[in-house]
Amino acid sequence: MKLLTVADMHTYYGHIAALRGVSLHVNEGEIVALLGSNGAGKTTMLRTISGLQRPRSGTVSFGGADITRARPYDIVAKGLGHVPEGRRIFAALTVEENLSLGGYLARRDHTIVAERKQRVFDLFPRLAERRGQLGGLLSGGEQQMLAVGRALMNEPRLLALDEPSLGLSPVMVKTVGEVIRRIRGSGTAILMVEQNARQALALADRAYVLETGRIVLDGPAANLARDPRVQNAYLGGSAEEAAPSP
Amino acid sequence: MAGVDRLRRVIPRSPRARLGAQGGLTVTAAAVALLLPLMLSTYSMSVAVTVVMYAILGLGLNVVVGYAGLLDLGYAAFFAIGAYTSSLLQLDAHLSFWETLPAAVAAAAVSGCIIGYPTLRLRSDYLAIVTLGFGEIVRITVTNLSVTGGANGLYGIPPATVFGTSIVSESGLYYLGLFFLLIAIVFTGLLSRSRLGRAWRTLREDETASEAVGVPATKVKLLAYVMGAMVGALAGMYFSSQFGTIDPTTFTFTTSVTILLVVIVGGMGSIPGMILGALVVIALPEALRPISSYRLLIFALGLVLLMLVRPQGLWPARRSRQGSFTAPLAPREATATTATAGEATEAPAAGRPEPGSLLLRVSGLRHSFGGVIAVNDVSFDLHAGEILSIIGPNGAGKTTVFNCITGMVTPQRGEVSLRGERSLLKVKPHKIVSLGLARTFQGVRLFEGLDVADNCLAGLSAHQGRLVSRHGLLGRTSAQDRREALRWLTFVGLAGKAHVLASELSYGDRRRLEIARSLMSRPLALLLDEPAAGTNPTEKRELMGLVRQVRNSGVTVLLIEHDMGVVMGLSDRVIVLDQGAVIAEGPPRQIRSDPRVIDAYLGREDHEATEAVGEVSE
Repeated sequence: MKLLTVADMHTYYGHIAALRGVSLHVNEGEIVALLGSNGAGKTTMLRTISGLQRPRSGTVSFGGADITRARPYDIVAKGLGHVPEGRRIFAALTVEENLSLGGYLARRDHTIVAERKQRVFDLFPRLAERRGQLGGLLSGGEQQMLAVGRALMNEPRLLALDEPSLGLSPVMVKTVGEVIRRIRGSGTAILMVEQNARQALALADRAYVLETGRIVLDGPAANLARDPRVQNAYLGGSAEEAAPSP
Repeated sequence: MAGVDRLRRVIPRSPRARLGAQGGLTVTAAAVALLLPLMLSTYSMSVAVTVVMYAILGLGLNVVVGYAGLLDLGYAAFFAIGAYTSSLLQLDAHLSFWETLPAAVAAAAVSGCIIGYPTLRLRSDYLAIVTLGFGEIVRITVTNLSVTGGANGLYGIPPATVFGTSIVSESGLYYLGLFFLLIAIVFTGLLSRSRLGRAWRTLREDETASEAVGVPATKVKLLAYVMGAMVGALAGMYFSSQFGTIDPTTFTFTTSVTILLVVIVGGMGSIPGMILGALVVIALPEALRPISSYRLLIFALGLVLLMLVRPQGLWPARRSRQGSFTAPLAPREATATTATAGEATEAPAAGRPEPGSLLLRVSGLRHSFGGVIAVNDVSFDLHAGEILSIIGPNGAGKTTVFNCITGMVTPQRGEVSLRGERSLLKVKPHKIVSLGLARTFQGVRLFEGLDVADNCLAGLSAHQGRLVSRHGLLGRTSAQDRREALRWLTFVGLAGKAHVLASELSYGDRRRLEIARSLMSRPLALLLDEPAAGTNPTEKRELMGLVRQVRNSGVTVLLIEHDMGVVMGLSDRVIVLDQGAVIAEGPPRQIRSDPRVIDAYLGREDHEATEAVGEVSE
């Protein structure tokens, strides 16, 4: 069953087209990866879906309702969470306060908020260690964990992740992969933008490849991972030049 | 209206047509300004005199608010200091109007230092309150001192004389005002184009990044107050000569706000904007006089409306005209992009340290944030000519080590020294850049509102601590500066994009620009913080090539990176940090198989990451 449907989306920054007629969908409980080079329009796609950027034309529907022109906070309330590019955590608030704000919609029920916080701390033990520390004093990778944790506080039906593994150590990248699987296990669908195509395709059920604002390839992730076009562009197919001298 | 329409059609066509139109507009405006006394009544002329005065004040405040981005709510203080200094010297020391000019300007400059110095560490809202207080202190002081005539002020101030003629008529005063206005336009125009002007803009965009490329932030901010104050003093002198009397009621908070209004309505940072702003703010209420009782209401509504429709002001500053790569460079660009690799990669500076010699020593470094120990007893040496990588889990303290080395954070314990001799502790970030350590930031910090060329040129600040010298702050960007910028832009492959706004660059290009900008200071070592984050395999390969090229040009590289393909492919040596301490150190291959590193960093169960390394690098 389709949870999110984007139809013929065109988004512009001034006169510059960032998306030129993109259509995609995410089914309930599915992990979908959005691949493409920098500047292909991946972030714009997520921003348009979550209402941060207005499309020039096209529609977005979520859980059967049209959310094309809905306000970002209404979209969040409908169950679409967004981990934005660049983390955007609240630097002057503690880790725990950041999470509390993530659970803003459930603020009247303290037990629910406490429960969800605990769940985030279970996913990211490092955040539990740093719960009293100011967000701005966290390391880059810790901020990334906090941004994901904050979005989870609202128990979204769909989580849009913009480069969740950016700046994370190899072992942490794997942890995030497991976290994403666990999030999906609890029934949340995931739409993720990743530069790390290998990791994204290993996790995802399906994937789309964006190029200069258009979808040029799509299909089951396993097929795309074998596709030579994807291998060349995003999996580091021709890596000879990158080889170290010895 | 037809004229305006024609202008609209011409302006967007091309930069040259725009310049032509602007030249025409300037000539027309100047002609109208000069002929105005022939057309207006005496009353209108007195309004014109006030407009000119506020235009001068606007130009002065524009330096502080528009160029440097520092809010000042007490600017009338400098206006007062200029007026009182000039008047007192004329009355008590019997100097002529013109003889008091240097003293009035100097007094304002000194007071600019006085207000500037204690407020430099403050930001926006606090700064606004402090400047507001300063404005009030000056007003209250002149109200209470007997030498300034107290609340009655000073009177009997002789008019200014030009070639023996006293200037008393409205049109005479008007022309005197135009003369001062011209001085202010030329002065602030030159400032805007100077290296100092560029330093102000970088400070306005991102203070941390600005210091990291070598802009002496404290000095540069102070200079904004000083330069702004000097222009304010000119207006003060002019004012005192108009009426022959001055008193404290002229220099109130309302005056400061009115001047700020001129700047905001006109368009921050724009010189023609200040003149337009003064016209609207001063002349419009006068023009509305026939509808007496409602005029201020209508004026206020008009201002609200204007800010809604044109929040950037009537004549906003255009970045293209602030750009430092002007026409003469353009033809050379084409040849520069095809410059041979050899030319671009030649060693940047003489006097490089011997390869392999000690360049940087970090010993016993320790720092904590609110009880969490970020760096705990870290020691390592960086040798000239090597690529040394620092890897480690998130929160291991890698960036904090960078911040301690580059002066952004003062470590609680330990020592950082250049070549094992010169301690870098408590040395300001901009100074450390000039000593030869340049850095980039996690997530890239560019001056978004400046073009590629200006971003790069900002990196030259490392050599321009002095005000007046060949590379001094007051100088204009020289052809040599531009060649230098072009050279590093060519080095990173961005020469063709010199005029593109930094915010419009693609991700990979942003990384390159940041590296070019830090190379402008001719560093001994370049510190790169996660340069490969968020790049795709192609960009990653290009980046690795670039880092090798940087090293081959004689610059030592200290690298923080998570991408093991990049780390293993580039590094001569690797240091592994975990929980603030060094847990392993050695050549890449040894590090990759170190069990402690696998536990803390790469992950034990499966060797996906290390396998991926194999695929990318072999």
